[in-house]
Amino acid sequence: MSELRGYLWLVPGLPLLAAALTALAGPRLLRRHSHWPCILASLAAGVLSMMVLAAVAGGGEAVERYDTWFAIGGLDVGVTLRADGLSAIMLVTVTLVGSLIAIYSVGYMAGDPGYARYFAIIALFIFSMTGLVLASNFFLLFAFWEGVGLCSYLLVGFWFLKPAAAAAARKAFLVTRLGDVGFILGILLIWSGFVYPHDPARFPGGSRIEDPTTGVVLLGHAVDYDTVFRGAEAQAPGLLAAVCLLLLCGAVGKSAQFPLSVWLPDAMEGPSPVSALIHAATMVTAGVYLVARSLPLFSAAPLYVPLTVAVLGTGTAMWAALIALTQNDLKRVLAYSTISQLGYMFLALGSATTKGLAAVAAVAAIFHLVTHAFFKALLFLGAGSVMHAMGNVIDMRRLGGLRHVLPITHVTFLCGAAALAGVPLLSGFWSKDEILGVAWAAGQTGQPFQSVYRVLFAVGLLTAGLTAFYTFRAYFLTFWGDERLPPEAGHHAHESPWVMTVPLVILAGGAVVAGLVLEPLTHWMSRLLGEHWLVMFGLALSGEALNHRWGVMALSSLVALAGVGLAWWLYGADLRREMVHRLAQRFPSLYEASLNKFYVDELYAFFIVAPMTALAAFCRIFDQYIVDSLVDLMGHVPGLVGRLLRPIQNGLVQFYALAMMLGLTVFLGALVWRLAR
Amino acid sequence: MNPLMLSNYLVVGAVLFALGAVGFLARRNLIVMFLCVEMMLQGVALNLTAFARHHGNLQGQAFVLFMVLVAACEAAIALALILMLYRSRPSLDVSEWQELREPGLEETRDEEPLPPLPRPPPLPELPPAGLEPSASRETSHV
Amino acid sequence: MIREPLAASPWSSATAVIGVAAPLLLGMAALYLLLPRPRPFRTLPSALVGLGALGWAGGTWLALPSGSIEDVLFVGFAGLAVIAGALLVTQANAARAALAFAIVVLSSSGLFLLLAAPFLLAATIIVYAGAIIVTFLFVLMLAQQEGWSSADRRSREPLLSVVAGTVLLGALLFVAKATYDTRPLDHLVAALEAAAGQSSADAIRQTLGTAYRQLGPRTPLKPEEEQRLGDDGKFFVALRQYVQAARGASERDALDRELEVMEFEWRELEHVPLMQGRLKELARAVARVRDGMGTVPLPAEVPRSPLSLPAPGDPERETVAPLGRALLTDFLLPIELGGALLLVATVGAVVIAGRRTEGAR
Repeated sequence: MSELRGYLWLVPGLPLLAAALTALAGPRLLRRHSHWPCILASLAAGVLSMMVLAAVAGGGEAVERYDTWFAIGGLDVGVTLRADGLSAIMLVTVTLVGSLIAIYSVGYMAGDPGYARYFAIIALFIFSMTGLVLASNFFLLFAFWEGVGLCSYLLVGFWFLKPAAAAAARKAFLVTRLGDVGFILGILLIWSGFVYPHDPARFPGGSRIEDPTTGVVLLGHAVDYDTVFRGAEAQAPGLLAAVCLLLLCGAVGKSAQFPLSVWLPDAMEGPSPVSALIHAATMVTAGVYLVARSLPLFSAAPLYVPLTVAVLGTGTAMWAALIALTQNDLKRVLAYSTISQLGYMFLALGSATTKGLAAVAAVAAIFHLVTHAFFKALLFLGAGSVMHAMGNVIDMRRLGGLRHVLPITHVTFLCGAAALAGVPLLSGFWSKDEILGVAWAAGQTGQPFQSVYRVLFAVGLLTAGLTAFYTFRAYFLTFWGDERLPPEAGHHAHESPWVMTVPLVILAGGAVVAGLVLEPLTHWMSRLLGEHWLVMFGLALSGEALNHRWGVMALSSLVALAGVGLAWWLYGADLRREMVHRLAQRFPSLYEASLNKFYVDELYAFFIVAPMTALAAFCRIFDQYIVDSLVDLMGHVPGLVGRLLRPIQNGLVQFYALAMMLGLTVFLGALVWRLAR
Repeated sequence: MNPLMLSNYLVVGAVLFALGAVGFLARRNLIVMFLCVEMMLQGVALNLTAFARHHGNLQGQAFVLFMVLVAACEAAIALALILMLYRSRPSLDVSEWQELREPGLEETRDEEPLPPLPRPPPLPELPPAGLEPSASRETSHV
Repeated sequence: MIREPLAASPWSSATAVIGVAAPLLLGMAALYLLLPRPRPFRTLPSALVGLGALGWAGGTWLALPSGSIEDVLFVGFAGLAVIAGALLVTQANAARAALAFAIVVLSSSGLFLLLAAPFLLAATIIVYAGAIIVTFLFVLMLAQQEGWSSADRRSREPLLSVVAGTVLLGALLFVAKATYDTRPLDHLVAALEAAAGQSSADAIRQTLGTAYRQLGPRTPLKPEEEQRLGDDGKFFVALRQYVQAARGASERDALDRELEVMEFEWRELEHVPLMQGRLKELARAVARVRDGMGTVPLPAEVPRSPLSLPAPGDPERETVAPLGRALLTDFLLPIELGGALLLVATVGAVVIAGRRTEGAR
């Protein structure tokens, strides 16, 4: 694995170089060619990622320490990169999707005044994301984690002159910070709380400490993955549960799960390729990656920890799907579907209630992550293509019958929608099926909470149907029915240029075949993750887990097809849409609740924003009337003294001289007094 | 030199200095104030010269010379300034210039009225010169 | 420190303090009364009070033991200077004040002459009397053509000014007296020399006892008591106190140790020539301490040109030439700077005075 050391650092390094180059030279020198450093660097990083994947595919891993970041006391944090199955598959996904989206952006962002800035941030994002995936300790992970958060902020607020975009960027940044507080607390708890037996060979990252009460020599203060994960079993259950829940906080924030999900739909204010890259394919999956990476901790924790993850994921999936049913904005439908699909991944990860299931759960979650990256990026890029052609109109009520106007977009969008809906044999079908299979298996383990997992399975299945329905609702509304073009589109609504359609086609190919190739045919994914990566932490993949549960598969395909069919029946042609309106009018409260996202924003406003505002108002009053009054009082004292002394400044120079002389006499008197004594 | 004399000269110098200080503080005529300052300098010069004598070297005398030099410069500049001030306000009263007081304060004015001056003695009348006066005015001759 | 009823410093006895303070207060009060004001006090009584205060001060502040012609000249010049200074301060007529200043300059020039500084005499008269006062008078005549101005007949805060002047002069007098008043030591030197001149041991002791009595104790002593005082060395105790009070004298500490020895050895001394020798030696030592009072020894490393030292032989007679040499050697740079300053001041005065102000009233 030593040959990895030579180029592993280049995977994040090249995009960073590109970012610096574009930021420095972009606005003045490169101008219309600012995309080249970014595209070349991400393509090169993609090739290098493939090489990394090939190197670790045979089973193995590499941990390369390049430098010391900081060393304080017993804590030694290195700039250490880790290549293994999980990071390699993530790397390939990130760089591949990133490259395609960068290429797509050449067409989409053409003529934008912030062209160079855009590509600089995209390159910076790819640097941060690859670094996040490659990091081999929690502190480095956190640094890159914040890095992608920063890029997300910059890109959501890319058109910062638009008030909505600026507000959305702020919201995204602040809401994810909320989760990050938990995340950093979790890391600090790992650092301070975790102790390991004194075995430096097994726990290389720990430093020697002594138990203050018993005097037993232990190891502690470790934050690198190897040490922490190997020692997971040795920790106190309560501490482990606390750490896991705190890490989950960070993951929930970044992956927009239930309480902290409000930022993601607003983030659609950014350019569509950004939505595709960051808010669908890569960055939001960082939370899933974090939980998957920490799966040794989660599976060692008490059972209520994975149950929390699963309930949270399923609830979010269902809830977001219900909201997506009624949204009129195409990108918002996709945003809620992203939240929903991420919830699915959390469901899979939360089903890791036994050691055998842990590996399957990780495989299912990461598999879905990869396929989802492909088809969700495709869907967002398709939506972007629609916007590009329609003069930035994305309201589906004003669009219709675009399949003749945008043929390539239409076909690729259909591929993505079918994959998302779980139409059999497409990639989404396989990955979703694995998740449902894991959930089903978690319901059969005989563990205390297995009945809950059965309910979760049922909810997941229902959500799959809803997913199929709302996806195709959006598809039919946009591309079928009577042809309706908004006036903003102008007279020459046309298909997008080739730099935009080529990525669409490639991604569509991925969306169609990736699932089939990666798992059911080859079980390549399972082997890569399950057999090589997790084994070292004692989480072997049991052979029977690889077998497909045909019943679950049949059920889920039935549900998906039913959803698609219902959507076609309702939205396939204009005539039946009246019926939908009548339906909505018959159940106005349900419809309104879904349309208004179940009033989560309003709840936030009432329970969090309003108390904060009240506190701020109180502080303002306190500051303005009490603190300021005190300060003013202090200020008035010299003023009053000055008013007393003001008449002395009468402008008569002679009087000033007299004052000087009188002052001098005081000193002379004191002097004489001292000398005469 | 009899060292007794040193303290005598110091006393005289101190008296001149203090008198000058009082005059500088009390008098209001710019020129008189300036003379008072010069008198203070005389006291200091006396002091320095006495010490030079006491120590038997010449540094004190040299210092006095420099003091005279600076006093001369000072007098030149000060008189020029006084002239310039006089041009803008034809009075040597130093209290005329009190514009630099705190804004809003009343100008300091002298309340107490001055008694009338005694009549100046009449100037002696000179016999007219020039042409011989006419006979009619001859009677008023001194 | 021994606490005998002796005047260890000129300020520890009440009469000394009154003798210094009373003329000061009286003179300043007279000055206050004489300052110009709208309703003046009567001039003659105030002036008489002032002259009286001056005479009193001359009696108590000055030390004039010999009554030589030098002292007479000093008193004359000093009195003239002070009276003219008081006139300058109190004279309401500015032109007369300028003339009073001229008298101050002239009489202080006389004092310069007494201080063996003839060049300063010449320079001061030329520069002040010859140039500055003439210019002042010229400006006065230019500015006050109509005669008295109302400002000349008023004073600004006369009381506070006089108070400030009183404190200032009091402090200066105190320091001058405390540091440079050599009268007690003069008296002691004279006493020592007189005792050394006696031919018998008893006479010597008698003389010292008398001197001791004159120094401090208030109650009169009988002659045999005086002799006993001289016997047991009390005189040297008193002498030590005065020596210790001498400020700034570098040889003070050595003499102090010597006196400590004398205090005990004196009783055993009987041999008259030995006593005379010791007393003469002591008189010289006390005189050295007296001459060194108030001096600050120059640091040795100050470089001085040999040319600037007084000429060998008779330094009293020749002072102008050494001063010129000193100015052109030790003070060469200050002289050049002073010349530049004069030039700048001349140019400045011409520029300032020659400017025609716009909008002049």
